[in-house]
Amino acid sequence: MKTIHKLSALALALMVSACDENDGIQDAVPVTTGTNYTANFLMINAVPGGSSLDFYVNGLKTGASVDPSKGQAGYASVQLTTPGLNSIANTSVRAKATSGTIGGVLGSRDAIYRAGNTNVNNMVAAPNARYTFIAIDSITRPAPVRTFSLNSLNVLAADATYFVRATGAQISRDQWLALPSDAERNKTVSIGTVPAGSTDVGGVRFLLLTDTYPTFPGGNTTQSAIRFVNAIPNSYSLPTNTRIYARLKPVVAGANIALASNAEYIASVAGGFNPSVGSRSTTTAFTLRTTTTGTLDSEQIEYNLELSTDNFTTISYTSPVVKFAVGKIYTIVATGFVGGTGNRAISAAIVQHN
Amino acid sequence: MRKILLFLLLAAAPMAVWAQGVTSASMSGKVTDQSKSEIPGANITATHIPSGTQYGNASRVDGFYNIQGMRVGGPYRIKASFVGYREQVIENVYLQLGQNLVLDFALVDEATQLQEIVITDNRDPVLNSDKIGASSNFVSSQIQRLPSIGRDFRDFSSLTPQAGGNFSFGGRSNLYNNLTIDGATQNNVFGLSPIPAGQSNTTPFSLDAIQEVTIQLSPYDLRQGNFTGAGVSAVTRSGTNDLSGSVYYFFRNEGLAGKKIDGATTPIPSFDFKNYGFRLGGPIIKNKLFFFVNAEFEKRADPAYTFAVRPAGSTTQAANQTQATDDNDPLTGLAGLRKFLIDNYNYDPGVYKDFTRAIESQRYVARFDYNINQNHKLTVRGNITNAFQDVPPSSSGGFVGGPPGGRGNTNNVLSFSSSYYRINNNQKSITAELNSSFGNGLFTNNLVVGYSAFRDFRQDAGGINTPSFPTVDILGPNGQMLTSFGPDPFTPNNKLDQDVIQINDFFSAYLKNHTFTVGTANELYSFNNVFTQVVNGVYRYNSLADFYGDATPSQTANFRPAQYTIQYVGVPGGAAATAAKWSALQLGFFAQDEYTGIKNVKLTAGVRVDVPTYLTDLPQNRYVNSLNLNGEQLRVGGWPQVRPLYSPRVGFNWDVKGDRSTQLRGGTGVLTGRIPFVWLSNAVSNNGLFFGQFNSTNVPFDVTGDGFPYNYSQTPYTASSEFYSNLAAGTPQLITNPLDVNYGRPAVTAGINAVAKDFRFPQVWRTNMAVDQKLPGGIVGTFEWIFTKDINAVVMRDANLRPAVATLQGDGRPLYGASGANRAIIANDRRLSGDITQALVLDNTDKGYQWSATVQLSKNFNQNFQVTAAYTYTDSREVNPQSGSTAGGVFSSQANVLGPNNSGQSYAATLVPHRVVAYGTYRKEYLKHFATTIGFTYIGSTGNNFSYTYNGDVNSDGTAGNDLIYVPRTKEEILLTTTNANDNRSIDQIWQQLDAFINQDPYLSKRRGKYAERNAAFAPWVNRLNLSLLQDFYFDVKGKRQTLQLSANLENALNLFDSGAGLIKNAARPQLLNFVGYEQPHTAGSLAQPVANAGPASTIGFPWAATTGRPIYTFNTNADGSALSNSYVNNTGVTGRWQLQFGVRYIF
Repeated sequence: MKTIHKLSALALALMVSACDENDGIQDAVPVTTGTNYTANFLMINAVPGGSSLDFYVNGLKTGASVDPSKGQAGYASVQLTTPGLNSIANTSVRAKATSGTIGGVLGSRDAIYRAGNTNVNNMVAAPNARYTFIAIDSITRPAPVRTFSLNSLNVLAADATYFVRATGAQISRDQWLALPSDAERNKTVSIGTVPAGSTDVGGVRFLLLTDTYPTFPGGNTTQSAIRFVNAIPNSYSLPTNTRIYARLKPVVAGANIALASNAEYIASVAGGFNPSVGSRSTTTAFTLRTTTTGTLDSEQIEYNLELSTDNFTTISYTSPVVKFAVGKIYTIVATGFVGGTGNRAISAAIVQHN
Repeated sequence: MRKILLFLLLAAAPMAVWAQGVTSASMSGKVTDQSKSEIPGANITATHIPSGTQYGNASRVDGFYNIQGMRVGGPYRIKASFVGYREQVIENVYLQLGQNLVLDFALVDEATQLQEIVITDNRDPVLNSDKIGASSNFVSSQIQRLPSIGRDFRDFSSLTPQAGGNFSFGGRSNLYNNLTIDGATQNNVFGLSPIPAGQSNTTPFSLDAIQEVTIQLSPYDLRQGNFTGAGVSAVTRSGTNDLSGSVYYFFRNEGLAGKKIDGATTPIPSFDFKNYGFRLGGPIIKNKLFFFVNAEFEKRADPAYTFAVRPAGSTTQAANQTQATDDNDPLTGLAGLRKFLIDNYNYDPGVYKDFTRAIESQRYVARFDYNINQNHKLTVRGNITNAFQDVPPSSSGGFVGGPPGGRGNTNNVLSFSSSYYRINNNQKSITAELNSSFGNGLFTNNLVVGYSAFRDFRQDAGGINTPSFPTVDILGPNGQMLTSFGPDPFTPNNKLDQDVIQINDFFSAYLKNHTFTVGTANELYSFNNVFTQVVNGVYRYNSLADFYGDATPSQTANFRPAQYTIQYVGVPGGAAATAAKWSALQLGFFAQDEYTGIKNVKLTAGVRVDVPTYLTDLPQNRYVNSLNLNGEQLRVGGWPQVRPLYSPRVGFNWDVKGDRSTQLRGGTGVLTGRIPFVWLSNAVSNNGLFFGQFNSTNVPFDVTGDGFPYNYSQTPYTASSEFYSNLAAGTPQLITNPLDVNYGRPAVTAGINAVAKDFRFPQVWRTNMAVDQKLPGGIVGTFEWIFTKDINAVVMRDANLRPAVATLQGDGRPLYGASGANRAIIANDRRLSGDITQALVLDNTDKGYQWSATVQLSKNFNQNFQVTAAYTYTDSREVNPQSGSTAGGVFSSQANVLGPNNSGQSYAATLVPHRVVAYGTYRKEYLKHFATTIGFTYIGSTGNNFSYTYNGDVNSDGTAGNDLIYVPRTKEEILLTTTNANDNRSIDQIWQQLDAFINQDPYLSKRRGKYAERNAAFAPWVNRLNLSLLQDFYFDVKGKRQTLQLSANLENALNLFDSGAGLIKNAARPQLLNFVGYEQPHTAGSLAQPVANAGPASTIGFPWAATTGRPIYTFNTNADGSALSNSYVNNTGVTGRWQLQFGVRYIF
């Protein structure tokens, strides 16, 4: 009997030794510091006649109550969690009207940046990069009415929005088809087609510019860098006289600086404009300009920015006096509507990047 | 644990004994005279009164007698007589399944003036010498009286204290059980379900056909084998001399189910359940030949979905609605999608509202019992089961990760009815059993011969043939699945034929204190399995708009699918040629002795040897077998070596005081079981010869613009015959199909399954110790301890996985190479051979154990009033979850930190730590014509366990969703980002939501700064109280009782009284965080170089070496934009509510 007791004890001891705990785990070695990666965002409100806008990047307010034709003073640096390859969108950018509506999808007061044709595509921001976001177009831009009708299943026909040159109105493809004659239709221009399956709710949308700073020559004492953007929605290529001309005219004397000649609405030429829905992104170079005679503030030349639709036969807009400092970088955005009056009149935003 | 061990050390006394066969009962004992001298030649007869069946034997020289092979049930009249002595008669003896009734007779000589001795048996089900291991038994009266709304024998087996959920026992997988009916194996040995017809959510036998059910967890009787979980044995009813039977009808529907969940009215889609049938038993020749037949029909129409489509025009999503809408919305509208498919592709994806799942079965049983003579009894039983069920589509991706959120209905997903499939389970089975007695009872023989044919196959829901159309998964605006249409990816061609032949023979000899038994138990299996997963291809689109864009003839590259996956047939002859046709044999032999030579002690000891043998030669893949995978050569097409597996076992039962007031029992021994044969069958078909795999993000829906979706399998595959023969000859195949070039298919790749050469079937070493004690008030208390150590547990490993190349920035876990397809980049490829996606090898580990401790109290007030209650604590650990229905499923379900080949031991997926079981019945007859019976079952248990993992493949091991999360302590320890452009939370807000979630989670809040463990999070406690009420009205016709019985079965009674009680809570989001990519720039040194010629980006990895920056995650909101703030959600399905079932039955 003792033997049995001993054997039992041995068996039990073996069993106890078999009771290992979980062993598929190691101690974690977490990184305890947050990410160091940031990107820089500068926001411009180029929505004529709209509300002032609050801007958000990754849910953080980066610009508060930016009025129409105004920009934010300098970049806001926002922490990124930038993924690697595979185009994993991660940075959300949003504009929210402080009052009234601006269309959009989150709510009538919101517009979001969309990297693709639908609302699920976010922006990919690279570490340390600089971006300028311009809220463009009008709060009255109609949502394209789909000729892609699930009832008629005319999947070949895509959506389109047309711009009526004479009035600045934008009409749907159905309205365009209903125009009385080809002559009338010739007075319009297609903003672009909306592919079946895309979403476009109309209203304000975003233009994204990736800011690549120019290199100033060594020993520069007279130059600044200026980029011009035509954000006037009805300044299309036809007829030519509705394009935009821009120049800096010295207040006192001297040569004009031609900024733009026959410039088209940037959204119509921006890369990624096709398909026409959602946000656009492009790069527009900064051009070095001699805007000062020396490095002192007093040596900066005083200019008026002038905008015209007819090569300065008539001046549509003249800005207050502006000056450009040496080595500084600026974006000038033409806003408003050709033919617009009041708060829809042609105007401009001038922002300094550095 | 330590206290228990101490107790056992003290209690480990002489080892002793056993249980009986699995189809019958027996009795034994000793005949003496008043002076305790043995009486040889005394006549012992036992008469089964209802059938007049006689059993008998004479006592041997030593006074001992044995009667074997007796019918279960009773009553029996047992007589002992000898010339010159008074006859002793014992009435009303009932025998339970597997029982060996010990009856000693002390005969009194006729000269002694005594009246005839009549003893009425009042045997205790616990305190008897044939109870050794842990077991539970349910007799026909309990089966009739306890509640069982599904009329399913598993409702009774789950009352075993050591049971877990879903037919699992002792913390082991339910696929490791052995189910026998009338002694013949009735398992679905292929293992796609623990029981036959289980896939159809029904049972192979009507409760009305079942006499008794026994669950053995630790049998030391070596006749019992082929399981390492539990042996579940049932015997069917027999006919008697009385013609008797019953006709019955049961029903329930949504009107008889709870409308509210936790106080909130939650509509329940309509459903309907009907179960009806009859049983009839009687004599063909009185006292000689009997019949029993049963036919039962079950029809259910269950809700196909819990969350209904959101009505057109609704601006908000109600709690029981999906994000999908009943309109033409370009991002969520299912109405528009359906019309689009019909008009453009002539394909009707089915409906998405007002549809139900059909579940139907027909069960027939016929049994004949033939008393050839007193020494030979023959039983023949046949049964037919035809069952099917319409099933929601699988959420699995097959050999890639499944779609986020799955395809089954949730508040996100509503799949079209075309993606539901029908599983058909048809079975025919016949069993014959011959019980014989020879040599005046000195020898007995039990012969069982059985044949079962299982025919399982799939169709589309509704029983229509599966169309040749791809599966299309479309994500909704919140990044989770929106809908799916097209066939379930695992359904096309899916069929399984199984044939099982069984021959068992047990021969016993009775010699003084010894009962020697030798026997053989043999099973021949034959399989024909066609499983062509993902053969029609699976598209995944990030939005409905993307799908429209891509499926429109004018599509552009802007709208390509986020993923396209296909496994195409690479062998001439199409799908049929990929069948896994094979046969195997499991031979078992044993010898054992039962010894009763020690006073008050029974001992059994014996050894069994099982020999799994494989009968089919398989095609060899010489090319793959020639590869050197880190020193290992695969054996594709090779079986494991045939080796005998030995199972020695000893057991004891010690009646400590000799009066059956205290009983110690237990034993130790080895159990040998089977694995689900599907894991072997996968190695037959996934040999790299039959299938090739292809993933791309660049395949348009309609490649050729012909109005048909792209289907690689339909594309003429000019190289197919070469593909097969070249690989078989050892030459890698070069692909020449231009489509491969057009859509960036890099090279032929195949998933390989193989079996290790020295793989062995599961074996466990199981020990149990128990004490049964008669307590005051007639209560019987039991303490039972069971310990199981895995000897050969099953693991699945990927032999093609290169060791980790780095550690993951962020939490330090091993990081694997990328999945670049070009073998030139070998240094950065996680695969050892670029021709193989995964090479899964079935292998063994000795890791894993289970133990349980049970305290049980039971009281039989009288035959009409019994109550039992038990508490069990269980611990169970394993390396691989053992319940996958494919080898790949077993592999991918092992959530891990250290990599899938090193996932280690953790909590078992089937673990239920705390469990309380109580049940009882009470019956009262009154006013001469009435009887009322009430019954209850209560099961209270810890909720299901699960693992917190990442959605995505963080460690780049090639399997998505299997990486356990690191639980961050601070915001700085995790990189979070927004989910999509609609997500307007700031990073700080996302962290605050995640932090709050972790804080409220009972498991995660304790794991801060650590990894989550596998299966370590448990859902809240579940209380389940079921009640039954039977109201009988009876009257006599010609002396025979006729009964009309009305019944009500109330499932989840607590929920009826309080809609906040009896709830089942499920994990809200086990894949808590979505992995979206690694931070830039790459930081991990030399391996982090862009790889030249890496090929297209694969959806299962990255074309760059994965040794990159820290991983970035999203913590998604709920579908309505609110924060995920609670770990658990209520099960709003029918099982989460109270249900009432009515029945009417006529018994004669």
